[in-house]
Amino acid sequence: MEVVLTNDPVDLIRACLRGDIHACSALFEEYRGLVYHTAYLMFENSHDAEDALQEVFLQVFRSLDTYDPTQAAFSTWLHRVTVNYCLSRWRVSRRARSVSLSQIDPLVAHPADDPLAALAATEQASRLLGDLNADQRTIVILRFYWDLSYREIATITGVELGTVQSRLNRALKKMRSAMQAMAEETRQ
Amino acid sequence: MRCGDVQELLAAYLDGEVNEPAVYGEISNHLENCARCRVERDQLALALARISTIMRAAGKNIPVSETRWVDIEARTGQQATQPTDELQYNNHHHRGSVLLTKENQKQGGARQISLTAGAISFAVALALLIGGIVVVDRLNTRPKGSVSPSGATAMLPSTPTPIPTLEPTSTATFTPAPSPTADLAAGRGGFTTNVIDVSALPEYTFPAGGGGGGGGGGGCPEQLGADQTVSQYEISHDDWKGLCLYDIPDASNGAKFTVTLTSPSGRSFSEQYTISSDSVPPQVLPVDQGRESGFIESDGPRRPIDLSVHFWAAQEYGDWHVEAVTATGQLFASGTVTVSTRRPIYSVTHFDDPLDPFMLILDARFYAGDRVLFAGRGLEAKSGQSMILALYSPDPARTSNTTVTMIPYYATRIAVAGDGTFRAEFMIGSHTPPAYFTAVFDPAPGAFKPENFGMAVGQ
Repeated sequence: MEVVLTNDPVDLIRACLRGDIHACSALFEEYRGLVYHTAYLMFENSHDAEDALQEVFLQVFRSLDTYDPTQAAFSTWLHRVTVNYCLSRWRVSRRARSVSLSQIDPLVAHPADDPLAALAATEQASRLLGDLNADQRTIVILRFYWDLSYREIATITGVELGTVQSRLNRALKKMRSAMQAMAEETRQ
Repeated sequence: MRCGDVQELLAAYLDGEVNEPAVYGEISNHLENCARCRVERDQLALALARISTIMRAAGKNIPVSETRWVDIEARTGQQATQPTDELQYNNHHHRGSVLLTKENQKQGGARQISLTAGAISFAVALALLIGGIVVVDRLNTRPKGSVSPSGATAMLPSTPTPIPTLEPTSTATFTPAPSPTADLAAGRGGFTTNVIDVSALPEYTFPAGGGGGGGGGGGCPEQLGADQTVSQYEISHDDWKGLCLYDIPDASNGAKFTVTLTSPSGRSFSEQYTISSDSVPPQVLPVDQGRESGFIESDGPRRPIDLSVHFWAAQEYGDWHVEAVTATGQLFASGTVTVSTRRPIYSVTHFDDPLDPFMLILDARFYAGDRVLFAGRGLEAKSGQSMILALYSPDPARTSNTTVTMIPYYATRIAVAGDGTFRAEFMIGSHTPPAYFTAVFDPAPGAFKPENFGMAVGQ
């Protein structure tokens, strides 16, 4: 049996829906980073991010036939599934974790060439995100990590554009305070 | 607008997310006249850039996920209605099978692969999980906007529509006050060539409010050749770009270095910077006020300096030479960056503006006697054609808190070159109304479609 695949995600989805396992695996490989990075920044640990990666893709394959390419890019749809999963998981657990990413095991968690620099970058991000609630954190990740427009964020999170703007403003106030505190600590 | 109102919108303004021309114009006007809000704008711009840098740096440290496709296969198999031993065999068998990676997709485009008999068995299990019929192409047949059982909503009947549908109230009924022909002796402003009579253009009425647009990406790339010390990336949808310089020998607090950019035609621009370790991440501050700043990304061994630079649409694009030297004259970064744009961008500048890439100009305003240059790049869809460029502004007599009526003041026919660029000159006359004029291409009855650029005229 010969199957033709292209690099268009819609073609991959069509092939996957026809039962082409190679297309399904290609879709997973192509988009796993999108899910994992968002989840990692949300939960600040690899354990929850790995869970998210598996659960989101199970959900994706379960509902793949409901994806409508005329309504949104696949990445937008996948962002939405990921965000929904992370928010529901966050709310169920009420963020029960007592430690942040930078407190877990940064030197193991961040296999960068310079572990101290990696730790610093991670600590800064953790401080920035630390005071944000789940909704604010989601919007900050979509805006500043994925560089999405307000409109794309509104589509993904299912809120009005004005709500995106107001949540982002509140998040920015908190993050600017955190940056100010970090700068003062550096001076001391 | 009051300061509080402006500051609530500043982040959206800086992100290029205020597309409603009346609101954009009000913010620009307010910033022109309010020093306090200008300070807040500058501080916020710095904060936004820092947050982006920190988030990108943290992203680079995210470990590689341990979940593999075989894990997903295994779980889909468990959740399908007919898990079999054969499925487990397939999982094992599949471990080394073909995965279509980004690289081989890019190289090969369409690609043929063989589906093994074992994989077909797994496909049946997966199809059961997906929901059944293996062959039918439901992407073409499903009703729009349906919702999946898991709550993963297909896109999306309830998607917010922040830009109101705008209907023209009339066509060809408006006779503008200013003459469409520039005549500075008579005090009349306007385009200097290919002028179009605006009485033939539609006006538009719509509810006040709206916004949208934007996007981008970035971060200094880490995967560079060992001998490559210069690179660039695209920050946002407009002229703002990131310039990356690697391997600075001295990144201590107070160290100085100078960057020189040379255009394809040989014009040079230089800026001297000082490193400040007082902030996180360390800042790179321009010695001259009003110049753009940058940061040192501290998460890699080559400590890239991430500078913000601007290549206006009216600027030269193509291969720019970059050099960076320390205060002692040691050359540490040198190379060529190709300046381009992936989407249409525009600039509205003084005709003879040097367009210094190190300068950030957020709210230029023009006055009587000024020559203004409208320029665009990246208009691939229109290249080789001519278009109408019209300038619209709210009609004060018919604009309220709830309704805006936009009327055409000036228009010209522009030729879009084969490389997607255009240029048009405008003269500000003493009778040119003090207002914000938003640009519209090819105005026609229907929805109001402002472009993301315009011109603020001061009194």
